[in-house]
Amino acid sequence: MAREKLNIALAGNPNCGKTTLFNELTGSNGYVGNWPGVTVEKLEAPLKADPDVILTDLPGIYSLSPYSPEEVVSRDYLVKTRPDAVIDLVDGTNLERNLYLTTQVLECGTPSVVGLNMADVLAKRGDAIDLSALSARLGVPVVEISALRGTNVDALVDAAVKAGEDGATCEPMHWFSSTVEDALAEIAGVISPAVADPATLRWFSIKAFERDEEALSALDLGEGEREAVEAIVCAVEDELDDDSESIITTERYDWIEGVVAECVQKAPAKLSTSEKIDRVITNRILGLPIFAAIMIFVYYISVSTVGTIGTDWANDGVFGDGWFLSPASAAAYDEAAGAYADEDYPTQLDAFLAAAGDAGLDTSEVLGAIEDGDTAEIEAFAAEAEAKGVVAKDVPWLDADGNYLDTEGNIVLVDADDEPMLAAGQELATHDPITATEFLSAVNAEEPIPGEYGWFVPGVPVVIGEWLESAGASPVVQSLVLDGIVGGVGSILGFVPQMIVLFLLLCFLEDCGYMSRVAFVMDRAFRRFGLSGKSFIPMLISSGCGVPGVMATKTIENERDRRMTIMLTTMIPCGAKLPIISLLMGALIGGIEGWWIAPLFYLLGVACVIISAIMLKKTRPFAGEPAPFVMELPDYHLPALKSYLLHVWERVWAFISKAGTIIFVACVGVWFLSNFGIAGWEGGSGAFGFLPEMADAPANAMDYSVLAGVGSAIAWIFAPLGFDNWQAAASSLSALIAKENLVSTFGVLYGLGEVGEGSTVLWASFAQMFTTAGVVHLGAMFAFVAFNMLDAPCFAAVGTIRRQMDDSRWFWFAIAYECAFGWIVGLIINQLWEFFALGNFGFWTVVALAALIAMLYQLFKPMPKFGEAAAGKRPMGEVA
Amino acid sequence: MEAVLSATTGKNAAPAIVHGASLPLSMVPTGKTVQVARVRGKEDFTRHLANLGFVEGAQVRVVNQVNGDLIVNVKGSQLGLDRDTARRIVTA
Repeated sequence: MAREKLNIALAGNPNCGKTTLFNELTGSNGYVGNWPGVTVEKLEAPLKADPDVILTDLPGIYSLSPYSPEEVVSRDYLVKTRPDAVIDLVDGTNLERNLYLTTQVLECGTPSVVGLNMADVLAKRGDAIDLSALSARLGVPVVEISALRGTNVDALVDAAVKAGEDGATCEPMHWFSSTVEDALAEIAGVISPAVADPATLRWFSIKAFERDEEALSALDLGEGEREAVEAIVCAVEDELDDDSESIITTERYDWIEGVVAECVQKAPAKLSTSEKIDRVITNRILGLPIFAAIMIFVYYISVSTVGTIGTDWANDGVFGDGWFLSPASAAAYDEAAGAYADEDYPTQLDAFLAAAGDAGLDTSEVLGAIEDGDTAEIEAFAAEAEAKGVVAKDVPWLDADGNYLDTEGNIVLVDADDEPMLAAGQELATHDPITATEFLSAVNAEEPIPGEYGWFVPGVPVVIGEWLESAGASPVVQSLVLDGIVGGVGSILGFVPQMIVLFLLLCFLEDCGYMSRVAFVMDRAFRRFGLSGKSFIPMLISSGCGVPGVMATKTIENERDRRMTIMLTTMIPCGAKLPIISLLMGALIGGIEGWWIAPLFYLLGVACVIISAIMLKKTRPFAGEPAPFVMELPDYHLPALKSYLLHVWERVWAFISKAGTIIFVACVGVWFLSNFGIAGWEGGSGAFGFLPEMADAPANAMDYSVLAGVGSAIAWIFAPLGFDNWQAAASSLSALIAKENLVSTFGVLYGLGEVGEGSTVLWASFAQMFTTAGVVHLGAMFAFVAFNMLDAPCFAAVGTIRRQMDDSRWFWFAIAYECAFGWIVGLIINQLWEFFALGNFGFWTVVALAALIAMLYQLFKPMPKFGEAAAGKRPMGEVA
Repeated sequence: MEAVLSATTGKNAAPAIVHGASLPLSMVPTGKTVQVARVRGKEDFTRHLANLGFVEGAQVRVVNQVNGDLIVNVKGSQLGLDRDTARRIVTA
């Protein structure tokens, strides 16, 4: 049958199962959460069963009077865009609240059908709903469904399609008292010439009665008509001694109460399971400890155990050398590789060759022979060396990372000259004297090749590298693809497994209903510094990753609170900032003993959020009480598997898709900046080009790159913070791509290659960067890390901030604030340290003190008055 | 619009006993069911609460109290309210 496309809107309260139904009907990627107002964008998709029917999922709302942006969106769609039909989904377990919206939806005059969801739960509770009576009272068909199980949803859609095709206006029922109905009829008479679509006459009459200026602006009412309406409304207000809006709301609920009493047979009320759980979980004593325990568990699982295993697999396997499919071959390889590494053959080799060189032997030939595997020459050399009695003694034993070990097997730290620093009584582990025999066995020892252990899948870089090699790609292309794109994007995607585990847990907490309780429990604490409890969830999620954290702010109705939360939430250290903290820990005190440093930076993050919140609250754009906390706490339930997984996927995908777009571009950019430059070294050609491939390029060729140039050019910015070398500036820049890039860039800039944050050499270089005249500059070190924790987040999060702010001025303000705040905190840390530790006092000390005093003043000054116009008005969708 | 003063007067101020037995919701003990008399506050705030079911005569049951913040059951669903909001809901 040929016909035009049919638009059906899906309306309903938050948590009524609307998005679950939407997914069921369209098979599309909307997602559902148990967090009121989870859908803010309008979702559209054709029906699976009938592609000519377009279903629009409206945000979950409580009413059509515009309190939140979601309500504005839904109301505009229903009244102005006007779908062909509306499915109003109603949560049967919560009929009174849900019917409140239903009455308003029906008033819009669009052909409508009511879907009664969760009737199965209702039946279990012992309640019964008389469908035909309900349908008769509402004046529209009522279809009982279960969105979760998909039962009867086809019947609902058929009813909606039929209603849409018939196009019969939803017949207005008499909902209000006769006084009000009479007044509405009078008003309808006055305004009907101005109402184009007669179906909307009742809606506009009620809005006129409520003096809803926003709704009436769509009508072209003359002065006389307005006065006539006003007279009618005033008469009713005098008669009922209440304002018109309250009259409507109250009578609406009165009518619903009557309907529910008539159509629902309630089982005797008892304390529901959710209420029992709430008494424990929101308990004033147990509430916070329970929450802390749950979060520790979540992070233990996602950061320390399962998530880390996944991320190691992704980083070292998929985006590394490769991985084993079979645990048995993995174990066999690990054992062989471990045994090989334990022997520390390269050190033995080097030491023996050095000793041979000292004994007057020429070692240049044999080096080539080892490379080429020329056994005869090597053996000849060994014989010659043995004849001369070459023995290497006291050779330090290094571990696989190239770290010194003591006799107990502990890692020994190195000083600025890479010399081991031994404590009293500590001795370096050394090899037994290395003779020609050991030399030969070291030469002949073969590093195990993973591919020979079976079930081995080579990593992406290996496969792509071989492919590029065979395709004859130029070194520039190879470097671009492998180092720039695969390396950069891969390091981001390496976080995906961890992200999946984290969001499997966090989304479960959200979908089962616990998160809204957390917001409730945390509200009191957040209110003290001017945010509501709803700001807490984004910050919690940001401790995993700032991208979904910023996205989670969309559930905050109050625009001021939402903007402030977007600005501040990325100050919480995310997963990618942990390697930076580990690096600092290593540089300061040599690793694990500095366990307190990581919590210190979390504390710094939280403190900066609080300080910023208090300071910003006293500025005009943010002034005013946080929005009153009123939040529905949905019944606890096990989430539907499909919706739950979609929810997790939505969160993870937000992260992955950023890696594919913005990070991709940024990686190529940084690769270009750090590999191209002018050959300006001694004897260099002075030409611009790809540095690593230039003839006679020195090991530190990167010092001549564009990145070094940019780093030097901006290094002065960081001089007051104590790190005015280009490496620090350049790694801060590359940290914008992904925060953990700071560590790898460091490795590359210091020519250490691909070293991790666990390398003592890197620790030493890091410490050395902040050492002047033999003094380790602790202040600069902390300032550097603090700046990188607090400044603008990575590009992925920056992009998300841009989208969520939806206003370029606010976006730039957020980024500028974050960078400036990070810089000032760094300045204060460094200058105070210099003043107290070194006794330095100068211009920047004054600036730092002034900044500190200004911050303290802003923190403790009383809340300024901005006049009624600014502070008294709740920002309701208005542009600040 | 009626003037609202008591919201900022702090917790030491005497509870607003205006009309005989009318208590703010924040002072209703856990487990008790009361009726809403009215909601004080700015217009869009009272409207929002009214939309959520806090209309005159609505039955409200206090499920739990946490340091003045409330979990209540109104019109069949559970809502979390902060202390300031609870103070502005006057019960009969």
